[in-house]
Amino acid sequence: MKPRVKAVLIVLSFVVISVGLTWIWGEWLRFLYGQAFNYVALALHGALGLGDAPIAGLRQRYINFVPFVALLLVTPGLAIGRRLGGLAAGLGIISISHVALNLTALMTPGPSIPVLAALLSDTFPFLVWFIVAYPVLAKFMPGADETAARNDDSREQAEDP
Amino acid sequence: MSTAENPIDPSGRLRAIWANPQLRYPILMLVYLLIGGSLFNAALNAYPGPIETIDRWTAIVVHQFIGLFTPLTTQRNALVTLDGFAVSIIIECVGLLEMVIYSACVLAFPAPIRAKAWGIPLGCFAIFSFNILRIATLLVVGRYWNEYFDFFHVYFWQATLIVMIVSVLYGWIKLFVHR
Repeated sequence: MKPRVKAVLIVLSFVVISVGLTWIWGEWLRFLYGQAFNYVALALHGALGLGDAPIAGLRQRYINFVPFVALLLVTPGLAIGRRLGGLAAGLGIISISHVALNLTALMTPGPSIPVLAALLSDTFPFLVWFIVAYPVLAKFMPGADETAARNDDSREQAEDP
Repeated sequence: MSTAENPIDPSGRLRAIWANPQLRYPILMLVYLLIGGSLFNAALNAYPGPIETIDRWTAIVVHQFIGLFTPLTTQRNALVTLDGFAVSIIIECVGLLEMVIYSACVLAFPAPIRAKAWGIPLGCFAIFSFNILRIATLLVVGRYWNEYFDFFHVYFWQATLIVMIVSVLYGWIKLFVHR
């Protein structure tokens, strides 16, 4: 496949996946996630002695899982095991970051969320994607041991059933 | 076995982590992000006036850009309208957070100082341009397909934020690092 056609297909796939996920999020996932989040966050507040402190209104930011999932699914050349494992681990880590973001907002009362927390929340999907997709991204890093990264990935590919 | 190779030795472990670009790059990026974010936060608190000016300037640029295609646009302070549909530009809409993240990405990247010195201002300008296009698109959607405005507002915010940064970063690497 020509590189230009491949690039267009990657961009199109990203758009389809991210639009689809955003729609699913808006239609019902946001509500379900909010319920699960309330359960976990309130339990955590109790454990931390915050009592029934309210859940901060940050749910719009919890959509940051969308670019992570879309980027990971469209990154070419990743072994299926690494892709699926990275997806599961990454979503778990991003959910934990939501709990942390919520706590940060509770600790700094004000009309908007703290800038640092917002920056970290926005950057997190990129960082997790970078770590998971590193075997493919290593070729862009000057000085990185690309061969080792590729070998690491092909070893995983060989292990995949 | 040397100290660096001993997995039990904490300093050897730290050195091993630092030697691995897969972990070094995200760690460095977080450090630059914390520095940049703290400075930005301090500026927000210390200079609320100039920050409001940035909101207004962004509104002016969006207004001028839309004015290239239609006269049905107005602007007052940080408010821009298109044929009666109005959006208010707030600090989170002006692309500064994206610029801080992109700058941290560039600073942490293993590239010559010269490439970074070109990459940060040019990349920030590209992000600013993307952002103007994003706000203009939202105005058009709000005016002509109002029922989809909330969806696109969310989509063009979080979902495309990372892509905007990754695209500009990729362009910088291709043009300035891998020449």
